[in-house]
Amino acid sequence: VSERRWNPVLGEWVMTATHRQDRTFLPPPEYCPLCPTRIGAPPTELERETFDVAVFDNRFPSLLADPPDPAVDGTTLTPVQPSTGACEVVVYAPQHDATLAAMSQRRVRHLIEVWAHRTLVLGTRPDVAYVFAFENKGEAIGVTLHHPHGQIYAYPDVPPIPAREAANGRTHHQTTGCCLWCDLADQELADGRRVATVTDTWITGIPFFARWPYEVHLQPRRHVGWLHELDDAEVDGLAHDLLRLLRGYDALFGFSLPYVMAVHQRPVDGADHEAYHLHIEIYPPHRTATRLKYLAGSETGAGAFINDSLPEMTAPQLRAALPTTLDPQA
Amino acid sequence: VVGTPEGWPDRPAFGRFRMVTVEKPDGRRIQYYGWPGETDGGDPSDGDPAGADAIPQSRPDDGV
Repeated sequence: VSERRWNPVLGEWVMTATHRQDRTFLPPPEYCPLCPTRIGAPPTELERETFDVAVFDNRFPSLLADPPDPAVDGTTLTPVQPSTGACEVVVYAPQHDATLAAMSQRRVRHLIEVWAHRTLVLGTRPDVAYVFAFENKGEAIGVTLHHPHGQIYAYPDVPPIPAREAANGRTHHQTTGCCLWCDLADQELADGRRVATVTDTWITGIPFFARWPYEVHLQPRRHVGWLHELDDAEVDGLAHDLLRLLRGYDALFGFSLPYVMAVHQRPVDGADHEAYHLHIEIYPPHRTATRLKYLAGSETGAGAFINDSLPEMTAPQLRAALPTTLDPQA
Repeated sequence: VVGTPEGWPDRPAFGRFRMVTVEKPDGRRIQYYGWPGETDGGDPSDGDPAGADAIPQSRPDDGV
């Protein structure tokens, strides 16, 4: 059963996907469905001896190009819609134990190219209003497969967070004539305390209003809305800065840090989103080496985040953990 | 190659990859991406152990 149910109280859609209860859950490495198919072994999702980057339709999708009819009838107050869209899996490498942080800068660049290409492929579909590339890493986040991979969801509407971002960015632009994200970057550069890295093409740092202790946002210095608008130097810059950040994360507490990585691009619903500025947000759940931040009463019940730390205190720790130079092959 | 949006090859920062699309028996699609001239030679550090993945070679059962 897969459908979308409207919540008129919060003004948002909730997706049901009951078949996902049966999805593969933390299989041993020899049964990993994202590894290349081995000779004499049962076929995996990827029936090749090896590959570079592979993208395939999720076997347990929440959104489908041709979804089934909803299992229940909606009402005027609570309408129900088919779960139209797409759910793709992006496999970063054939190696089961790899992580993005341990890959080469070249491979990270390849992944960015794939994100950009899939955004165009899915974004040109008339039934798609928003393309969202993301990665859930680590059991603390709830991953069900350890093989290095991310996902891309193509939604039939703009989901709540990018919709709020787009609305606030539009309002700021109408009020000031400026880009909200460009103004935030200027403020961070002028202050300097929360900046992690800055180059000619990208700025990264813990935002003034971070929800998570080591949350980092990366944004291009130039005002662009989609990955495919980046130029050569900006793609290289993103690959470099993202890799440096992920390696810094792993050095922060001395283990491979779990995180959620969200690529926020301009919506593709046909509306005017010129004010929207491409950026990537990363949220590690750890607040210390041994303690996680949970979404508890205030966050879950009221939508009000409480950050147990000050970005002005965590940013220097993160800066100190970043590698000073980045060996692109290491 | 399917699904490549019009204009993609003209984007200077991208378009270096080749893509092969394979349809699984259940109708789902797999896109294999490869970068000719960039992943040749193999690089165990980045998950390219033998360099065999440089270009996503079409196979008879790919339908391409």
